Amino acid sequence: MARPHDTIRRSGGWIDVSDLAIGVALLALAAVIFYDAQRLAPGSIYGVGPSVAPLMIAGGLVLLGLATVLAAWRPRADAAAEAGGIDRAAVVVIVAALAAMIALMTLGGGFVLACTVLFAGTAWAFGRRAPAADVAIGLALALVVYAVFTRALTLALPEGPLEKYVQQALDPLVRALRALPWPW
Amino acid sequence: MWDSLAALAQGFAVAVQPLNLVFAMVGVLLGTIVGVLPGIGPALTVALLLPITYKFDPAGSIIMFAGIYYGGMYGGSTTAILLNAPGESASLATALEGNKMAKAGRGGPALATAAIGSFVAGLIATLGIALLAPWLVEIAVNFGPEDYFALMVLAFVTVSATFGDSPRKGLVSLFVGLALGLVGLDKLSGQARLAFGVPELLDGIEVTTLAVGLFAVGEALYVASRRRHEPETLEAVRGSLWMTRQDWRRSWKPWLRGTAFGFPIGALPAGGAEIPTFLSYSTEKRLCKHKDEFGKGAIEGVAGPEAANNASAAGTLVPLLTLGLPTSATAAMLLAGFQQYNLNPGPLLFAEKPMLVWGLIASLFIANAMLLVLNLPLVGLWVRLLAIKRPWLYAGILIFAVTGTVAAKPSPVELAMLALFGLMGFVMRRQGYPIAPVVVGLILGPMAETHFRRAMQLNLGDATVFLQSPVSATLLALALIALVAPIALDGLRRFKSAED
Repeated sequence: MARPHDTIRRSGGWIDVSDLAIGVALLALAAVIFYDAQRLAPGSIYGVGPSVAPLMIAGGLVLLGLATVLAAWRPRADAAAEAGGIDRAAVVVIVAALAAMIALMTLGGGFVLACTVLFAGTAWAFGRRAPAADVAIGLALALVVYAVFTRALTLALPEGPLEKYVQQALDPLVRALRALPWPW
Repeated sequence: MWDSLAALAQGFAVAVQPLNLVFAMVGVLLGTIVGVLPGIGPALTVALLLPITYKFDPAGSIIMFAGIYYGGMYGGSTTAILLNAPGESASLATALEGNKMAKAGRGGPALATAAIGSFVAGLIATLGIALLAPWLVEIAVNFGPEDYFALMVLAFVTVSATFGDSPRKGLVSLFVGLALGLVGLDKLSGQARLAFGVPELLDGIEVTTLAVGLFAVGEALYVASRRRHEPETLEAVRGSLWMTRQDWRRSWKPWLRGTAFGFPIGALPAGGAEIPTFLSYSTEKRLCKHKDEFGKGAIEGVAGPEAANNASAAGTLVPLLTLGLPTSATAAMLLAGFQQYNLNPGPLLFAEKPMLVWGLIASLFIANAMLLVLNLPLVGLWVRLLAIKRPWLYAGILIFAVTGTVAAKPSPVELAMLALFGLMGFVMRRQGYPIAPVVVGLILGPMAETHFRRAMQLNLGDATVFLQSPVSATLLALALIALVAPIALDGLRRFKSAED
């Protein structure tokens, strides 16, 4: 039998690397919570201070982390042998698209541009190979969402160079809609 | 009983106001549209649509939520039947038989029995809420903080450890949620915990950001990573849309039995809609005269589980409204919806804002009726939504996820958390960790801590208070049994299989 994905052969069994990593991550999380709880000032005389719940949760995480590390060791390569591997490239592309979106929103690229990039990147990750069409669809969708959220729902979204023109284009439309005889 | 009917009548007076009817209608429509989209379950439907209601008044937007909640449930069954892609495990049974029916050209009757069954279940279960809620509220008024704490511990256990393939994985999810719940200012002492000097973290982690990250971004990553393994086929609705006389005869009893399974299990915080749907499925299989049809498209296998699913979803509203206790991811999102208006469901809300609570319950009846009217004739329209190309669908879902997050809290930290929770959701999906306990842990953890500390303070730091109150002692004992039983059974099973 072929070696299952993401496992290491050890004498007498297999080690599931993902489960091992999760177990270690849980122990690390417990350590962070424990460290953070140490510097909290104690609460009132009778009550329970703010550090008690963190310590209880950190304790639970330690037990679960150890249990997970133990569970990573398998006598047989059963559960790890699931159907096939994963499409790593697709995951990387979506994460990159998310990072680009965050950068654009943060550095003043604006909502519309950031969402267009995210849309086109995600579509690429799902196997589409028509970037021009996807950019156009993403742009159209982002514009509609932007118009509805800022005007109909009056929620603020990050603005960039494009958004000013969008607002100017929307003004006459909004005025026309307001002039209609609404029942309420 | 007469009191609650009178209160319900007043609630209807609120719900039939024209503007509130519009809110219910919009909610039902949005809920169905988003719920139909594959990969989007009811919890994510509510999470994605929460930001839309930020600027509305509480009564209107909570009525809209009632519509979204029920609409998301209806939409999910359409996806399960026509795409064989259950959005959540509670639709698994529906997908099993319903998709076979659709393949055999009986998609119409399958959708109809699901819709009418959901309506019947919703009607009975909503009536159950109206009758049960005032009674539970009267009991809950006498609950002390220790009783609430014990109740929440029981909810933690039933949500995470009792069911699912491994109690360990459920508990890991729960504790990650509890750890995330620690982030922010401690309510009682005002000290910052796990904020690491980041100002955005002082308010704590938004439930919507966590839920949208885990469910939407995580799902997109998961589906993208396995795209090549699971080709989907969309079944067209061929033949008659209507149920024959025989379909009706075979459906009505499963509807009622499904409701009888779903509502009590949903109302009892006994963990999710999976149990009642599978109980209903196996019962119908046993009672059915056409046993050979099961697995090949038996209408009973759609009618029963669909009714059970809806009844249990309505049942979870009982602990949510009367005790403020969310027992599913969807209920946690509804609680977040209440909290954005500083409304805390529980006995006090019934006393202080009866019109709001009863208006909501009455709106559930109205939303349910609207859905029946909407779903049967318009099913062709919803089917078209299922045909959206996967790349565009998931790209669009990500845009809505980002929009909701950035509209709620315009900050790069919030967006980074969304992406991070997305990766976490991806790893959890891939390794088989349930997601609902994380969401419930985040929202319920801080509440449990507050009650725990209040109970300790009132009793001068004496921890035996949790055993002295009969209510709390009973609930904690139940929690212990629910925690230990599956682990013990698992150990026994493993012991036996090791002997073989």
